Amino acid sequence: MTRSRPAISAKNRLPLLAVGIAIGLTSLGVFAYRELLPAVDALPIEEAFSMDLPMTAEAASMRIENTVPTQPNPWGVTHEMVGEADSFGRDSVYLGAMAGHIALSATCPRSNPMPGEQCQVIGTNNGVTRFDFRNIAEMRLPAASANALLCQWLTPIVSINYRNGTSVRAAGTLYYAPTVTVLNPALNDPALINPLTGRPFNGALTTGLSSQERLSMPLEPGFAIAEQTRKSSVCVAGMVSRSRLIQVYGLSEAEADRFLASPMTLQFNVSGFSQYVDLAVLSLNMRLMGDARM
Amino acid sequence: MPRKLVLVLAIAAAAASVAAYAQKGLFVRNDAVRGVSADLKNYPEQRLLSRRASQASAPVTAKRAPIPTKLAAPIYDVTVDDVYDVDSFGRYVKWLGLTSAFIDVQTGCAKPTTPDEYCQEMNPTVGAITAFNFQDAARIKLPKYASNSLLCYWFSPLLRVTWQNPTAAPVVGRFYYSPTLTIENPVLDDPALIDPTTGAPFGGKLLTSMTSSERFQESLNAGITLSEQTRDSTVCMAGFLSHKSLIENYGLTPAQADDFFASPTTIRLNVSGSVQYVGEAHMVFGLRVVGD
Repeated sequence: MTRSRPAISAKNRLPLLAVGIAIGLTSLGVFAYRELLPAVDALPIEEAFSMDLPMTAEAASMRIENTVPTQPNPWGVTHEMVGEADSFGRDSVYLGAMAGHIALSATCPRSNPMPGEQCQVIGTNNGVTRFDFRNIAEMRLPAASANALLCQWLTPIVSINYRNGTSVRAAGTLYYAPTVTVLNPALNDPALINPLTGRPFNGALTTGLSSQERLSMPLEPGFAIAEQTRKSSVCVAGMVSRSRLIQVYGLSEAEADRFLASPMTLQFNVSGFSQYVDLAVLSLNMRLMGDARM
Repeated sequence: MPRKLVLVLAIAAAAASVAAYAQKGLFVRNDAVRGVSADLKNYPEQRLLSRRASQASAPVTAKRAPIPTKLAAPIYDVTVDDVYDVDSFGRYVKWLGLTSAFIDVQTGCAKPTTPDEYCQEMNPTVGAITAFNFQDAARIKLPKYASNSLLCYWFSPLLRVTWQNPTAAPVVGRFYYSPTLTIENPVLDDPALIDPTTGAPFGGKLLTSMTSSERFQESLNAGITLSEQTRDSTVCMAGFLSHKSLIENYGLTPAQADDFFASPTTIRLNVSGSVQYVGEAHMVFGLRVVGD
Protein backbone atom coordinates (compact mmCIF):
# COMPACT_ATOMS: atom_id res chain seq x y z
CA MET A 1 0.00 0.00 0.00
CA THR A 2 1.33 3.37 -0.90
CA ARG A 3 0.05 6.61 0.35
CA SER A 4 0.77 10.23 0.23
CA ARG A 5 2.62 11.72 3.14
CA PRO A 6 5.01 14.59 3.56
CA ALA A 7 8.25 13.24 2.20
CA ILE A 8 11.46 13.64 4.12
CA SER A 9 13.62 15.64 1.83
CA ALA A 10 17.24 14.69 1.34
CA LYS A 11 18.10 18.07 2.75
CA ASN A 12 16.40 17.18 5.98
CA ARG A 13 17.22 13.52 6.09
CA LEU A 14 20.96 14.01 5.84
CA PRO A 15 21.34 16.35 8.77
CA LEU A 16 19.01 14.16 10.77
CA LEU A 17 21.11 11.14 9.98
CA ALA A 18 24.25 13.05 10.81
CA VAL A 19 22.78 14.13 14.10
CA GLY A 20 21.63 10.60 14.80
CA ILE A 21 25.08 9.24 14.13
CA ALA A 22 26.70 12.00 16.14
CA ILE A 23 24.44 11.40 19.10
CA GLY A 24 24.90 7.67 18.68
CA LEU A 25 28.64 8.07 18.80
CA THR A 26 28.35 10.33 21.78
CA SER A 27 26.26 7.80 23.59
CA LEU A 28 28.37 4.90 22.45
CA GLY A 29 31.67 6.32 23.45
CA VAL A 30 34.73 5.99 21.29
CA PHE A 31 37.56 5.20 23.57
CA ALA A 32 41.28 5.44 23.31
CA TYR A 33 42.48 2.35 25.03
CA ARG A 34 45.50 1.63 23.01
CA GLU A 35 48.04 0.78 25.64
CA LEU A 36 46.04 -2.03 27.12
CA LEU A 37 43.40 -3.18 24.74
CA PRO A 38 44.31 -2.70 21.12
CA ALA A 39 41.75 -5.24 20.03
CA VAL A 40 38.85 -3.42 21.61
CA ASP A 41 39.49 -0.22 19.74
CA ALA A 42 38.77 -1.89 16.48
CA LEU A 43 35.46 -3.36 17.59
CA PRO A 44 32.55 -1.86 15.73
CA ILE A 45 29.73 -1.80 18.24
CA GLU A 46 26.35 -1.53 16.66
CA GLU A 47 24.42 0.88 18.78
CA ALA A 48 20.86 2.04 18.53
CA PHE A 49 19.99 5.68 18.51
CA SER A 50 18.67 6.57 21.92
CA MET A 51 15.48 8.55 22.15
CA ASP A 52 16.29 8.96 25.82
CA LEU A 53 19.50 10.86 25.26
CA PRO A 54 18.86 14.56 25.65
CA MET A 55 18.60 16.19 22.30
CA THR A 56 20.90 19.09 21.54
CA ALA A 57 19.30 22.32 20.47
CA GLU A 58 20.94 21.81 17.09
CA ALA A 59 19.36 18.41 16.67
CA ALA A 60 16.00 19.74 17.79
CA SER A 61 16.26 22.51 15.25
CA MET A 62 16.72 19.93 12.51
CA ARG A 63 13.31 18.46 13.05
CA ILE A 64 11.50 17.53 9.93
CA GLU A 65 9.49 20.27 8.31
CA ASN A 66 5.80 20.52 9.03
CA THR A 67 5.97 18.20 12.01
CA VAL A 68 6.63 20.51 14.90
CA PRO A 69 4.25 19.43 17.68
CA THR A 70 1.40 21.87 17.89
CA GLN A 71 -0.98 20.10 20.26
CA PRO A 72 -2.17 22.71 22.70
CA ASN A 73 -1.03 22.12 26.23
CA PRO A 74 -3.57 22.91 28.95
CA TRP A 75 -0.91 24.64 31.00
CA GLY A 76 0.20 26.83 28.14
CA VAL A 77 3.78 25.60 28.25
CA THR A 78 6.00 25.07 25.24
CA HIS A 79 8.85 22.68 24.47
CA GLU A 80 11.21 25.62 24.76
CA MET A 81 10.06 26.29 28.33
CA VAL A 82 10.01 22.79 29.76
CA GLY A 83 11.64 20.52 27.17
CA GLU A 84 8.54 18.37 26.83
CA ALA A 85 5.15 19.99 26.63
CA ASP A 86 3.23 16.82 25.78
CA SER A 87 3.57 15.21 29.21
CA PHE A 88 3.74 18.41 31.25
CA GLY A 89 1.32 18.47 34.18
CA ARG A 90 0.03 14.96 33.57
CA ASP A 91 0.00 12.26 36.22
CA SER A 92 2.66 9.58 36.21
CA VAL A 93 1.31 6.05 35.85
CA TYR A 94 2.87 2.62 36.37
CA LEU A 95 2.97 0.52 33.21
CA GLY A 96 4.54 -2.71 34.36
CA ALA A 97 7.96 -4.27 34.57
CA MET A 98 10.18 -6.83 32.92
CA ALA A 99 13.50 -8.51 33.64
CA GLY A 100 16.02 -10.37 31.53
CA HIS A 101 19.10 -12.25 32.61
CA ILE A 102 22.24 -13.07 30.66
CA ALA A 103 25.51 -14.73 31.49
CA LEU A 104 28.95 -14.91 29.90
CA SER A 105 30.46 -18.08 31.20
CA ALA A 106 33.06 -20.71 30.45
CA THR A 107 30.24 -23.24 30.11
CA CYS A 108 26.62 -22.78 29.12
CA PRO A 109 24.13 -23.30 30.57
CA ARG A 110 25.54 -22.52 33.97
CA SER A 111 24.91 -24.91 36.80
CA ASN A 112 22.64 -22.52 38.69
CA PRO A 113 21.22 -20.09 36.16
CA MET A 114 18.83 -17.23 36.74
CA PRO A 115 15.26 -17.87 35.56
CA GLY A 116 15.15 -17.67 31.76
CA GLU A 117 18.84 -16.85 31.63
CA GLN A 118 20.47 -16.68 28.22
CA CYS A 119 24.10 -17.68 28.21
CA GLN A 120 27.09 -17.26 25.93
CA VAL A 121 30.34 -19.15 26.19
CA ILE A 122 33.14 -16.79 26.98
CA GLY A 123 36.30 -16.76 24.90
CA THR A 124 39.80 -17.38 26.04
CA ASN A 125 40.79 -15.40 29.06
CA ASN A 126 42.49 -12.55 27.28
CA GLY A 127 40.34 -12.64 24.18
CA VAL A 128 37.41 -10.41 23.43
CA THR A 129 33.97 -11.96 23.77
CA ARG A 130 31.19 -10.18 21.99
CA PHE A 131 27.56 -10.79 22.80
CA ASP A 132 24.28 -9.75 21.30
CA PHE A 133 21.17 -11.07 23.05
CA ARG A 134 17.81 -10.21 21.54
CA ASN A 135 14.43 -10.29 23.25
CA ILE A 136 15.68 -11.41 26.64
CA ALA A 137 12.40 -10.13 28.08
CA GLU A 138 9.17 -8.79 26.70
CA MET A 139 6.28 -6.55 27.71
CA ARG A 140 2.98 -6.12 25.92
CA LEU A 141 1.24 -2.81 26.48
CA PRO A 142 -2.45 -2.44 25.67
CA ALA A 143 -3.65 0.34 23.39
CA ALA A 144 -3.43 3.87 24.75
CA SER A 145 -1.38 2.92 27.81
CA ALA A 146 0.25 6.34 27.86
CA ASN A 147 -0.43 9.73 26.42
CA ALA A 148 2.93 10.87 25.08
CA LEU A 149 5.72 9.30 27.11
CA LEU A 150 7.17 5.91 27.98
CA CYS A 151 9.81 6.38 30.66
CA GLN A 152 12.07 3.57 31.84
CA TRP A 153 13.49 2.91 35.27
CA LEU A 154 16.38 0.59 34.50
CA THR A 155 18.09 -1.35 37.25
CA PRO A 156 21.04 -3.50 36.16
CA ILE A 157 22.58 -5.86 38.68
CA VAL A 158 25.99 -6.73 37.29
CA SER A 159 28.35 -9.35 38.66
CA ILE A 160 31.80 -9.66 37.08
CA ASN A 161 34.78 -11.86 37.73
CA TYR A 162 37.79 -10.17 36.18
CA ARG A 163 40.84 -12.34 35.67
CA ASN A 164 44.23 -11.65 34.18
CA GLY A 165 45.80 -14.99 33.46
CA THR A 166 48.72 -13.44 31.63
CA SER A 167 52.14 -12.34 32.85
CA VAL A 168 51.64 -8.70 31.95
CA ARG A 169 49.36 -5.96 33.23
CA ALA A 170 45.98 -5.79 31.61
CA ALA A 171 42.60 -4.14 32.02
CA GLY A 172 39.47 -6.18 32.46
CA THR A 173 36.54 -4.69 30.59
CA LEU A 174 32.82 -5.23 30.33
CA TYR A 175 30.82 -3.04 27.99
CA TYR A 176 27.08 -3.49 27.71
CA ALA A 177 24.41 -1.54 25.89
CA PRO A 178 20.74 -2.29 26.57
CA THR A 179 18.23 -1.45 23.87
CA VAL A 180 14.52 -1.92 23.38
CA THR A 181 12.78 -2.92 20.17
CA VAL A 182 9.29 -1.45 19.99
CA LEU A 183 6.82 -3.36 17.84
CA ASN A 184 3.87 -1.21 16.93
CA PRO A 185 1.27 -1.68 14.17
CA ALA A 186 1.42 2.04 13.42
CA LEU A 187 4.85 1.33 11.92
CA ASN A 188 3.59 -1.33 9.53
CA ASP A 189 2.96 1.12 6.71
CA PRO A 190 5.67 0.44 4.08
CA ALA A 191 5.56 4.09 3.11
CA LEU A 192 6.88 5.04 6.51
CA ILE A 193 10.65 5.33 6.30
CA ASN A 194 12.93 5.25 9.33
CA PRO A 195 15.19 8.28 8.78
CA LEU A 196 17.94 6.67 10.85
CA THR A 197 18.19 3.64 8.57
CA GLY A 198 16.69 4.88 5.32
CA ARG A 199 14.51 1.77 5.23
CA PRO A 200 10.85 1.14 6.08
CA PHE A 201 10.18 0.64 9.76
CA ASN A 202 8.57 -2.71 8.99
CA GLY A 203 6.56 -2.54 12.17
CA ALA A 204 9.36 -1.86 14.62
CA LEU A 205 12.01 0.53 15.78
CA THR A 206 14.91 -0.05 18.15
CA THR A 207 15.93 2.61 20.62
CA GLY A 208 18.79 2.85 23.07
CA LEU A 209 18.22 3.69 26.69
CA SER A 210 21.25 5.98 27.14
CA SER A 211 22.27 3.46 29.79
CA GLN A 212 25.25 1.74 28.23
CA GLU A 213 28.21 1.33 30.52
CA ARG A 214 31.86 0.46 30.21
CA LEU A 215 33.28 -1.03 33.37
CA SER A 216 37.04 -1.37 33.59
CA MET A 217 39.44 -2.84 36.11
CA PRO A 218 43.25 -2.59 36.03
CA LEU A 219 44.66 -6.06 36.62
CA GLU A 220 48.14 -7.03 37.69
CA PRO A 221 49.51 -10.30 36.26
CA GLY A 222 47.70 -13.27 37.77
CA PHE A 223 45.07 -11.13 39.52
CA ALA A 224 41.40 -12.04 39.82
CA ILE A 225 38.88 -9.55 41.21
CA ALA A 226 35.13 -9.94 41.61
CA GLU A 227 32.65 -7.07 41.63
CA GLN A 228 28.92 -6.72 41.93
CA THR A 229 27.07 -3.47 41.36
CA ARG A 230 23.43 -2.53 41.59
CA LYS A 231 22.06 0.85 40.70
CA SER A 232 19.25 2.44 38.78
CA SER A 233 18.96 4.91 35.97
CA VAL A 234 15.74 6.68 35.08
CA CYS A 235 14.72 8.16 31.80
CA VAL A 236 15.67 11.61 30.68
CA ALA A 237 13.82 12.31 27.45
CA GLY A 238 12.12 8.93 27.65
CA MET A 239 12.43 5.60 25.89
CA VAL A 240 9.59 6.65 23.59
CA SER A 241 8.01 10.06 23.39
CA ARG A 242 5.59 11.72 21.07
CA SER A 243 7.97 14.58 20.37
CA ARG A 244 10.86 12.26 19.46
CA LEU A 245 8.65 10.15 17.22
CA ILE A 246 8.00 13.35 15.32
CA GLN A 247 11.39 15.04 15.57
CA VAL A 248 13.64 12.03 15.14
CA TYR A 249 11.58 9.42 13.32
CA GLY A 250 9.70 11.75 11.05
CA LEU A 251 6.20 10.70 12.01
CA SER A 252 3.44 13.20 11.56
CA GLU A 253 1.51 14.28 14.63
CA ALA A 254 -1.37 12.02 13.59
CA GLU A 255 1.00 9.08 13.11
CA ALA A 256 2.64 9.69 16.47
CA ASP A 257 -0.77 9.81 18.11
CA ARG A 258 -1.73 6.58 16.34
CA PHE A 259 1.52 5.00 17.55
CA LEU A 260 0.74 5.87 21.17
CA ALA A 261 -2.89 4.80 20.82
CA SER A 262 -1.89 1.36 19.51
CA PRO A 263 -0.95 -1.73 21.48
CA MET A 264 2.76 -2.34 21.46
CA THR A 265 5.30 -4.94 22.39
CA LEU A 266 8.61 -4.03 23.96
CA GLN A 267 11.50 -6.44 23.51
CA PHE A 268 14.54 -6.04 25.72
CA ASN A 269 17.97 -6.52 24.09
CA VAL A 270 21.54 -6.20 25.30
CA SER A 271 24.82 -6.33 23.42
CA GLY A 272 28.44 -5.61 24.24
CA PHE A 273 31.78 -7.24 24.81
CA SER A 274 34.11 -8.37 27.55
CA GLN A 275 37.81 -8.96 27.91
CA TYR A 276 39.83 -10.40 30.80
CA VAL A 277 36.54 -11.53 32.28
CA ASP A 278 35.88 -15.18 33.09
CA LEU A 279 32.30 -14.79 34.32
CA ALA A 280 29.73 -12.05 33.98
CA VAL A 281 26.08 -12.21 35.00
CA LEU A 282 23.78 -9.34 34.11
CA SER A 283 20.29 -9.07 35.51
CA LEU A 284 18.56 -6.26 33.65
CA ASN A 285 15.38 -5.07 35.27
CA MET A 286 13.06 -2.45 33.92
CA ARG A 287 9.99 -0.74 35.30
CA LEU A 288 8.02 1.35 32.88
CA MET A 289 6.24 4.60 33.68
CA GLY A 290 4.05 6.75 31.48
CA ASP A 291 2.00 9.90 31.47
CA ALA A 292 -1.72 9.46 32.05
CA ARG A 293 -4.27 10.18 29.41
CA MET A 294 -6.89 12.55 30.75
CA MET B 1 23.90 38.76 66.92
CA PRO B 2 21.29 36.49 65.45
CA ARG B 3 22.40 37.05 61.88
CA LYS B 4 25.98 36.11 62.64
CA LEU B 5 24.82 33.03 64.47
CA VAL B 6 22.56 32.14 61.61
CA LEU B 7 25.35 32.53 59.14
CA VAL B 8 27.72 30.37 61.09
CA LEU B 9 25.19 27.62 61.53
CA ALA B 10 23.91 27.89 58.00
CA ILE B 11 27.43 27.46 56.70
CA ALA B 12 27.85 24.46 58.96
CA ALA B 13 24.61 22.99 57.69
CA ALA B 14 25.65 23.64 54.13
CA ALA B 15 28.94 21.91 54.70
CA ALA B 16 27.18 18.91 56.13
CA SER B 17 24.55 18.76 53.46
CA VAL B 18 26.87 18.87 50.51
CA ALA B 19 29.60 16.70 51.96
CA ALA B 20 32.67 18.80 52.34
CA TYR B 21 35.66 16.80 51.27
CA ALA B 22 38.98 16.49 52.97
CA GLN B 23 41.16 17.03 49.94
CA LYS B 24 40.48 20.70 49.66
CA GLY B 25 43.96 21.46 48.53
CA LEU B 26 43.24 19.74 45.29
CA PHE B 27 39.71 20.67 44.51
CA VAL B 28 38.44 23.82 46.11
CA ARG B 29 39.68 26.14 43.40
CA ASN B 30 36.96 27.25 41.07
CA ASP B 31 34.46 24.83 42.50
CA ALA B 32 31.12 26.55 42.37
CA VAL B 33 29.52 27.73 45.53
CA ARG B 34 27.75 24.66 46.73
CA GLY B 35 24.16 25.28 47.52
CA VAL B 36 22.51 24.32 50.72
CA SER B 37 20.48 21.30 49.86
CA ALA B 38 16.79 21.42 50.50
CA ASP B 39 16.91 17.82 49.33
CA LEU B 40 18.04 16.60 52.73
CA LYS B 41 15.75 16.29 55.68
CA ASN B 42 16.55 19.18 57.92
CA TYR B 43 17.10 19.35 61.61
CA PRO B 44 14.96 21.10 64.22
CA GLU B 45 17.87 23.48 64.81
CA GLN B 46 17.86 24.44 61.15
CA ARG B 47 14.15 25.14 61.26
CA LEU B 48 14.63 27.36 64.25
CA LEU B 49 17.49 29.20 62.60
CA SER B 50 15.53 29.86 59.48
CA ARG B 51 12.65 31.26 61.44
CA ARG B 52 15.01 33.47 63.38
CA ALA B 53 16.59 34.65 60.18
CA SER B 54 13.24 35.64 58.87
CA GLN B 55 12.38 37.48 62.05
CA ALA B 56 15.76 39.20 62.19
CA SER B 57 15.38 40.77 58.81
CA ALA B 58 13.91 44.15 58.19
CA PRO B 59 10.13 44.38 58.30
CA VAL B 60 8.76 42.71 55.26
CA THR B 61 7.37 45.19 52.80
CA ALA B 62 5.19 43.35 50.41
CA LYS B 63 6.07 44.31 46.86
CA ARG B 64 3.62 41.97 45.26
CA ALA B 65 0.00 41.40 45.93
CA PRO B 66 -0.33 38.08 47.77
CA ILE B 67 -1.89 35.33 45.72
CA PRO B 68 -4.93 33.84 47.42
CA THR B 69 -3.92 30.27 46.75
CA LYS B 70 -2.89 28.02 49.57
CA LEU B 71 -1.22 24.71 49.89
CA ALA B 72 -3.76 21.98 49.25
CA ALA B 73 -5.11 20.31 52.35
CA PRO B 74 -3.58 16.94 53.21
CA ILE B 75 -5.34 13.97 51.65
CA TYR B 76 -4.42 11.54 54.41
CA ASP B 77 -4.21 11.87 58.13
CA VAL B 78 -0.46 11.47 58.40
CA THR B 79 2.09 13.40 60.39
CA VAL B 80 5.64 14.56 59.84
CA ASP B 81 6.77 11.89 62.25
CA ASP B 82 4.91 9.30 60.20
CA VAL B 83 6.07 10.18 56.70
CA TYR B 84 8.09 13.43 56.94
CA ASP B 85 6.59 14.94 53.77
CA VAL B 86 2.93 15.40 54.64
CA ASP B 87 2.23 17.96 51.93
CA SER B 88 2.84 15.62 48.99
CA PHE B 89 1.72 12.41 50.66
CA GLY B 90 -0.71 10.43 48.52
CA ARG B 91 -0.68 12.89 45.63
CA TYR B 92 0.00 11.91 42.04
CA VAL B 93 3.43 12.41 40.54
CA LYS B 94 3.25 15.08 37.83
CA TRP B 95 5.61 15.31 34.88
CA LEU B 96 7.09 18.83 34.77
CA GLY B 97 9.56 18.75 31.91
CA LEU B 98 13.24 18.18 31.31
CA THR B 99 16.45 19.79 30.19
CA SER B 100 20.04 18.75 29.59
CA ALA B 101 23.59 19.97 29.22
CA PHE B 102 26.57 18.52 27.34
CA ILE B 103 29.92 19.29 28.98
CA ASP B 104 33.35 18.27 27.72
CA VAL B 105 36.75 18.67 29.33
CA GLN B 106 39.37 18.03 26.71
CA THR B 107 42.27 19.36 24.71
CA GLY B 108 41.27 21.36 21.69
CA CYS B 109 37.75 22.48 22.40
CA ALA B 110 35.78 23.17 19.28
CA LYS B 111 33.61 26.24 19.31
CA PRO B 112 30.23 25.15 20.70
CA THR B 113 27.58 25.15 18.05
CA THR B 114 24.57 24.99 20.33
CA PRO B 115 23.58 26.75 23.56
CA ASP B 116 23.61 23.55 25.60
CA GLU B 117 27.19 22.51 24.77
CA TYR B 118 30.10 23.56 26.93
CA CYS B 119 33.78 22.74 26.79
CA GLN B 120 36.67 23.37 29.15
CA GLU B 121 40.16 23.33 27.70
CA MET B 122 42.34 20.81 29.53
CA ASN B 123 45.33 22.20 31.41
CA PRO B 124 48.26 20.85 29.35
CA THR B 125 50.65 20.55 32.31
CA VAL B 126 51.06 16.91 33.28
CA GLY B 127 49.45 16.29 36.66
CA ALA B 128 47.78 19.69 36.79
CA ILE B 129 44.20 20.14 37.92
CA THR B 130 41.72 21.36 35.37
CA ALA B 131 38.69 23.01 36.93
CA PHE B 132 35.43 23.77 35.21
CA ASN B 133 32.45 25.84 36.24
CA PHE B 134 29.44 26.32 33.98
CA GLN B 135 26.54 28.37 35.35
CA ASP B 136 23.07 28.28 33.79
CA ALA B 137 24.12 25.36 31.60
CA ALA B 138 20.47 24.36 31.10
CA ARG B 139 17.12 25.57 32.30
CA ILE B 140 13.43 24.81 32.72
CA LYS B 141 10.79 27.50 32.99
CA LEU B 142 7.79 26.36 34.99
CA PRO B 143 4.52 28.24 34.79
CA LYS B 144 2.69 29.27 37.94
CA TYR B 145 0.85 26.54 39.83
CA ALA B 146 3.01 23.85 38.19
CA SER B 147 3.19 21.92 41.45
CA ASN B 148 1.43 21.89 44.80
CA SER B 149 4.24 21.58 47.31
CA LEU B 150 7.19 19.71 45.84
CA LEU B 151 9.75 19.97 43.06
CA CYS B 152 11.66 16.72 42.76
CA TYR B 153 14.56 16.01 40.40
CA TRP B 154 15.50 12.96 38.43
CA PHE B 155 19.12 13.68 37.63
CA SER B 156 20.92 11.44 35.16
CA PRO B 157 24.62 11.89 34.47
CA LEU B 158 26.13 9.97 31.56
CA LEU B 159 29.87 10.10 32.19
CA ARG B 160 32.76 9.06 29.97
CA VAL B 161 36.23 9.43 31.41
CA THR B 162 39.59 8.45 30.01
CA TRP B 163 42.10 8.21 32.81
CA GLN B 164 45.65 8.84 31.73
CA ASN B 165 48.96 8.61 33.54
CA PRO B 166 51.74 9.61 31.16
CA THR B 167 54.32 9.70 33.95
CA ALA B 168 56.77 6.99 35.00
CA ALA B 169 55.32 6.69 38.51
CA PRO B 170 51.94 5.54 39.89
CA VAL B 171 49.45 8.35 40.49
CA VAL B 172 45.84 8.79 41.50
CA GLY B 173 43.48 10.09 38.85
CA ARG B 174 40.67 12.28 40.10
CA PHE B 175 37.36 13.39 38.68
CA TYR B 176 34.85 15.46 40.61
CA TYR B 177 31.68 17.22 39.64
CA SER B 178 29.02 19.09 41.59
CA PRO B 179 25.65 20.07 40.15
CA THR B 180 23.59 22.83 41.74
CA LEU B 181 20.33 24.54 40.86
CA THR B 182 19.58 28.24 40.87
CA ILE B 183 15.88 28.80 41.46
CA GLU B 184 14.35 32.08 40.37
CA ASN B 185 10.92 33.13 41.60
CA PRO B 186 9.35 36.58 41.89
CA VAL B 187 8.49 35.98 45.55
CA LEU B 188 12.22 36.22 46.22
CA ASP B 189 12.45 39.68 44.69
CA ASP B 190 11.44 41.36 47.93
CA PRO B 191 14.61 43.02 49.28
CA ALA B 192 13.36 42.54 52.82
CA LEU B 193 13.49 38.78 52.42
CA ILE B 194 16.83 37.52 53.69
CA ASP B 195 18.34 34.23 52.60
CA PRO B 196 19.38 32.51 55.85
CA THR B 197 22.02 30.54 53.98
CA THR B 198 23.83 33.71 52.88
CA GLY B 199 22.64 36.45 55.19
CA ALA B 200 21.92 38.63 52.17
CA PRO B 201 18.65 39.36 50.38
CA PHE B 202 17.57 36.60 48.03
CA GLY B 203 17.69 39.00 45.10
CA GLY B 204 15.07 37.00 43.26
CA LYS B 205 16.77 33.62 43.49
CA LEU B 206 18.17 30.96 45.74
CA LEU B 207 20.80 28.30 45.28
CA THR B 208 20.19 24.68 46.17
CA SER B 209 22.10 21.50 45.55
CA MET B 210 20.78 18.12 44.52
CA THR B 211 22.95 16.03 46.83
CA SER B 212 24.31 14.61 43.59
CA SER B 213 27.99 15.53 43.67
CA GLU B 214 30.31 12.68 42.84
CA ARG B 215 34.02 12.11 43.27
CA PHE B 216 35.89 9.37 41.47
CA GLN B 217 39.47 8.29 42.07
CA GLU B 218 41.44 5.75 40.12
CA SER B 219 44.80 4.27 40.97
CA LEU B 220 46.86 4.55 37.80
CA ASN B 221 50.05 2.68 37.15
CA ALA B 222 52.79 4.34 35.13
CA GLY B 223 51.89 4.84 31.51
CA ILE B 224 48.35 3.54 31.81
CA THR B 225 45.29 4.72 29.94
CA LEU B 226 41.91 3.49 31.15
CA SER B 227 38.48 4.33 29.85
CA GLU B 228 35.18 4.09 31.71
CA GLN B 229 31.59 4.97 30.99
CA THR B 230 28.86 5.07 33.60
CA ARG B 231 25.22 6.03 33.56
CA ASP B 232 23.09 6.19 36.62
CA SER B 233 20.47 8.42 38.12
CA THR B 234 19.79 10.13 41.37
CA VAL B 235 16.29 10.98 42.43
CA CYS B 236 15.20 13.45 45.05
CA MET B 237 14.77 12.73 48.71
CA ALA B 238 13.17 15.75 50.35
CA GLY B 239 13.10 17.46 46.95
CA PHE B 240 15.24 20.23 45.56
CA LEU B 241 12.51 22.56 46.73
CA SER B 242 9.37 22.09 48.76
CA HIS B 243 6.79 24.17 50.56
CA LYS B 244 8.23 22.76 53.75
CA SER B 245 11.84 23.61 52.89
CA LEU B 246 10.94 27.15 51.85
CA ILE B 247 9.68 27.68 55.37
CA GLU B 248 12.12 25.61 57.36
CA ASN B 249 15.32 26.12 55.35
CA TYR B 250 14.79 29.49 53.75
CA GLY B 251 12.69 31.25 56.37
CA LEU B 252 9.65 32.09 54.25
CA THR B 253 6.29 32.37 55.90
CA PRO B 254 3.63 29.82 54.91
CA ALA B 255 1.88 32.54 52.91
CA GLN B 256 5.10 33.37 51.06
CA ALA B 257 5.66 29.69 50.36
CA ASP B 258 2.11 29.48 48.98
CA ASP B 259 2.86 32.49 46.82
CA PHE B 260 6.10 30.88 45.65
CA PHE B 261 4.33 27.81 44.29
CA ALA B 262 1.63 29.98 42.75
CA SER B 263 4.26 31.94 40.81
CA PRO B 264 6.32 31.05 37.73
CA THR B 265 9.69 29.51 38.54
CA THR B 266 12.86 29.19 36.50
CA ILE B 267 15.27 26.38 37.31
CA ARG B 268 18.87 26.80 36.12
CA LEU B 269 21.39 23.96 36.22
CA ASN B 270 25.00 24.75 37.18
CA VAL B 271 27.83 22.23 37.02
CA SER B 272 31.34 22.67 38.37
CA GLY B 273 34.16 20.30 39.11
CA SER B 274 37.71 19.34 38.33
CA VAL B 275 39.85 16.60 36.84
CA GLN B 276 43.42 15.43 37.30
CA TYR B 277 45.27 12.76 35.33
CA VAL B 278 42.34 12.60 32.96
CA GLY B 279 42.88 12.62 29.21
CA GLU B 280 39.35 13.70 28.47
CA ALA B 281 35.97 13.71 30.15
CA HIS B 282 32.58 13.94 28.52
CA MET B 283 29.47 14.51 30.56
CA VAL B 284 25.81 14.59 29.61
CA PHE B 285 23.52 15.76 32.40
CA GLY B 286 19.85 15.03 32.00
CA LEU B 287 17.48 16.73 34.42
CA ARG B 288 13.84 15.79 34.66
CA VAL B 289 11.53 17.53 37.12
CA VAL B 290 8.45 15.98 38.68
CA GLY B 291 6.07 17.50 41.15
CA ASP B 292 2.90 16.72 43.11
